[in-house]
Amino acid sequence: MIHDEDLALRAAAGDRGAFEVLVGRHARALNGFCRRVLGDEAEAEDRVQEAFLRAYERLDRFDPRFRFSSWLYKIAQNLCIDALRGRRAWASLPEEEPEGAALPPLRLASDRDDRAALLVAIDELPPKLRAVLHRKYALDESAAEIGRALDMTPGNVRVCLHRAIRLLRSRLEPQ
Amino acid sequence: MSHPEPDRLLDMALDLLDGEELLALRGHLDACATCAAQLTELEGEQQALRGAFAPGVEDAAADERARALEDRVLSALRSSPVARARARRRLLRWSVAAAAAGLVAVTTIYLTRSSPKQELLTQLRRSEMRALEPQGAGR
Repeated sequence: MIHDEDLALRAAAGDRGAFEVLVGRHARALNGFCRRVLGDEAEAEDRVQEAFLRAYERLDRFDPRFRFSSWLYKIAQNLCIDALRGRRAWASLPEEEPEGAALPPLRLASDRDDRAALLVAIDELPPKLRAVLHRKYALDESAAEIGRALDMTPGNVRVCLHRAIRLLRSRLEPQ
Repeated sequence: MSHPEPDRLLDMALDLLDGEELLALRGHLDACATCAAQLTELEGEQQALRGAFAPGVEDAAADERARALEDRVLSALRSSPVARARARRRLLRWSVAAAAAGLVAVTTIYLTRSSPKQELLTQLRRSEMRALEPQGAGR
């Protein structure tokens, strides 16, 4: 299989087919990320399209020493953040510690209902926490990588992870 | 026995610890069944979160939407001015390369064909030189 970075170089040299392969490889996962951050399917698809077009326009600036997917996600993420900032939704985090601080860890059965409930609770988190969680669990990034991607210190990433988990515990607490 | 803060155990489950802090906590967990049990629960929570974000569990409608999105992106890409400009530049590069290759081929053919002429001229010059040599030379 040809590496993403080699395809990006070919695309930069004018091989549009190479870029189309990259679209096939990344569109779905990137849409999942944008949908998670924005909380809106249609808007996520708009941002995905815009991200690919922007990446294609800027291929000359892509440095193949770095991962193409990281570069693409950064472009998409910035577009999502711009959209959320326009609605003043990006920076907002709960000020006070959620009650989940004292709650036990989530205990979920592996059935679809539990997973669906968890997904709904995740979608109700503030966008910044959703972005951190997505990078942690879907992209399997370390705190340092998440921090670099979101312009946060690893300490802030830790705070966001703790907060997100506590909020999820409080929302999914058995009644 | 003093136990670590619950946040420290969560840090461990989140894979946020390293170095001496991690070693010290592991040492405590080896000796403390209560904290080890709490960590197991926290790891179960992490498993559930990873499962929520795992790909491949979406339905057929999601597959359909993903394909439609790919088509939409590719269509936008094909009609983008940058794609057209890049295609024009590529065509231009190919044309220049083809023209250069053609020029090299023509020049090579020309030079190959002109070599007998060159030889003829050399022979003519030699015979002229011989004719100009003094008659008594070499006697």
